[in-house]
Amino acid sequence: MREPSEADLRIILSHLPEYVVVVDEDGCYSWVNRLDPTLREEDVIGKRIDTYVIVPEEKTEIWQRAQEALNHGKSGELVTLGFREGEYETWFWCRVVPLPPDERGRKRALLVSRDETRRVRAQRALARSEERFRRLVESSPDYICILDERRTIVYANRLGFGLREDELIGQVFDRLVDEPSRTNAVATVDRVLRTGEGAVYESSVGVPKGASLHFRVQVVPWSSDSGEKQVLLVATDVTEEYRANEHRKVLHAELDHRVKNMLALVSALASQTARHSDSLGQFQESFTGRLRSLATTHEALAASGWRGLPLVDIVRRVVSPLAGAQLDVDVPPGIEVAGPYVTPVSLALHELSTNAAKYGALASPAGRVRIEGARGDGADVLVWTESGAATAQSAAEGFGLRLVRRLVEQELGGRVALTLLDDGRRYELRLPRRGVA
Amino acid sequence: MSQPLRGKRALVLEDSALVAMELEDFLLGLGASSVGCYATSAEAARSIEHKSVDLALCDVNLRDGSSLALVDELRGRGVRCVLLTGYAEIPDGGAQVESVPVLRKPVSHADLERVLREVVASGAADR
Repeated sequence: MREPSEADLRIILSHLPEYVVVVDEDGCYSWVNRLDPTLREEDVIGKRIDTYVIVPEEKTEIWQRAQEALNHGKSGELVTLGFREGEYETWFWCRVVPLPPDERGRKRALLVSRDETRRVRAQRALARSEERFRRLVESSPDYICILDERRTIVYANRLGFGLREDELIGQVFDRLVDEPSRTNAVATVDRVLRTGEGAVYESSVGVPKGASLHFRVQVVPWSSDSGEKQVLLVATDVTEEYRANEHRKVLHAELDHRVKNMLALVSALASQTARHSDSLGQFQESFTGRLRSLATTHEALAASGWRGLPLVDIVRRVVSPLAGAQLDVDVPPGIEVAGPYVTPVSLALHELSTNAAKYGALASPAGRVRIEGARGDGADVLVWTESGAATAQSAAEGFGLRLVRRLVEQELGGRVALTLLDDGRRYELRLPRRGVA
Repeated sequence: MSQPLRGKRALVLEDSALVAMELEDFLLGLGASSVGCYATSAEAARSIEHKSVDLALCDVNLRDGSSLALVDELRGRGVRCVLLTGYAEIPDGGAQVESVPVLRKPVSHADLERVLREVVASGAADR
């Protein structure tokens, strides 16, 4: 192999991507392999080598490196900002090495520099992107952590549950999960580590002095920088969703209970009506009437969310259809009947109405029914007065009246008082607001 | 109609007066005499303190809570009990009512009569 000639070397040097500079003993450019296209020879040769370094600290640094190479025979490296105009920056990697003195014994050094702008930009972009991801993960409302193959926590995006960092990082994950969720959580994590396929599990966490929290945990296959198997856990707090679901179950059970009670009531209503009917026609009329009185108030009660209804509403819904224009109502709108008592009050009013229609004031066009309500101490009083049609008490109204007494006295813990008047009758119903004690 | 409950003093614990009336009429029809119908455990406990009772039909869920404590007390006094419930499952405290028959609402007359006959028969066998 033949060594290249000096002429060859000059050509080779002029085509290197690096700038190769010989620095003289004054720290100035004495020779360059090639010139930047924007500069002339006199802009460079004889100028100090820190001339085109713009950051003051870097100017000092490159000057010091040159001095160390010239005076102490030491090499050094640095990356400097070579040029900046607005957003545009040029970065250089520089290496300074001592050279043997020239033929006149003057000290010299070699400076090799390379445009590193692309690499610096890529590095900065990566750092920015990493910073963005870190902030994203740290600001997530989810608990995110990384476990190694032994299920030791190696990273957690934030602390929680009153734990200190040393109680979390480096600890075995199993210890943070209580039974009965632990077995499943550990098995899921192990399976993801083994198979490399992601999975999801749900877990409950007991919190001191609080109701337990519920998490949906995604287990994602992960790996460390050095390629060791890991898993990423993303735990989302689904407590509210869980509670809403539990609440829905309770509501369903409650609704089922109400429906069954209502069926039991209707079944009893049918049996009782049958016991006191002389014919199928009579049964059908009485039963349908009673059922309708239940339905009309049930509808309004359901609309109230089962809280209750104003007494005056029940009166209008139940009594008006039978009494029509013969009815006067004077019940203050403030008297409320609580949810559980709406059905018995409705049935009682229905029985009074049908008795009045068959045997009382509503049996004659001249008769009138007046219903008054008043709030009393712990109980409301409803006074039902029939006038304009004196009637003797009939044995046939016995069942209706017995039902009214049972409903008011036994179910509501109230009282029914009947007074016969010259031209009618009066019932006084005492309705305790809290029902029977 | 046969009277399998002849001579038995029966109690009805049920918060719906209409359902209670029907149960009471049914018990009377089977020959029992009525001790009374009550809507709450507290009221029933007060009323029967000095009465003798042989048989009790009890709804499990009353407005003043579960009737199971009273059922336990009644059983301690030798009263034969039958439970009625609208719930699919007996709520908390269900363990203490083991061996007490439970009927789901709404109850058919045939089922109720069958269970009452069994309960009275087992009561007779105990003595």
